[in-house]
Amino acid sequence: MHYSELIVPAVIIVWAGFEYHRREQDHNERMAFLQRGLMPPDSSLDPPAWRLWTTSAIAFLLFLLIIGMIMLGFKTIAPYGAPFFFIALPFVPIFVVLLLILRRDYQTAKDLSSGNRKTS
Amino acid sequence: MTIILIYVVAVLVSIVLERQERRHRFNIEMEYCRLQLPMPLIKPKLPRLESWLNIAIGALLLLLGTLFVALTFTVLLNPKLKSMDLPVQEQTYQAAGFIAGGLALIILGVKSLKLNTAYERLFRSDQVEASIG
Repeated sequence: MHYSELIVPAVIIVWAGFEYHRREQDHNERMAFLQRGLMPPDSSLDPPAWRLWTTSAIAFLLFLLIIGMIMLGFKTIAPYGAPFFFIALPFVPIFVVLLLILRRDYQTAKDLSSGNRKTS
Repeated sequence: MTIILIYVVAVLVSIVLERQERRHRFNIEMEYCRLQLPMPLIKPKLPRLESWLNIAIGALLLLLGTLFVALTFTVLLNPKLKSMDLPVQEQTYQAAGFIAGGLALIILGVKSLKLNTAYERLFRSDQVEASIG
């Protein structure tokens, strides 16, 4: 077995280690609130800034890919242009969903910064 | 071999994370019992839009896998293209990986959408009860 075959399993294990630690920290925080008789805040409502940036970057790259494929489809001679449209097609729903996620996260971040936080 | 290794690692990781979550939930339930408070509804891990994203990416992977299989068979069954000498075993593994990944994402997305619908229904009925009470 070549060592390069171990890269993906190693990445999964390292990610799992970080995720395990993050969940443990979250749980400790919640337990600390509860042990003092307080309700823990709902952390799922706070989108971190990096998520907004990565979502917008991925959406922008997808937009470029879709536009590029459509342009190629139009520029290529008639019978050979169709596959480019076909390649762009499955990326369109992903792009639309990413835009909706971006809008939701941006709205939540705006609500948080202006102080009117939703309860759910 | 790599695919099997990835599969085994993924299964082990999911077992460890699942056990951790069950332990956390138990601790929190005990704490709510101690405080004599009703346990709040458990939110689904994937929100509604992320579930749709899962389905969209799953469909893309499924399509890629199917295209891979179609391409392999087109080359294999065409006598004019026999000289291409395809690495059939590798290509089948890759196609199987894409199809399995796509199906898994679609199934997870659909399950999560169902959980979200159930959660929203329960949350709404809770709110109605609270407003009446």
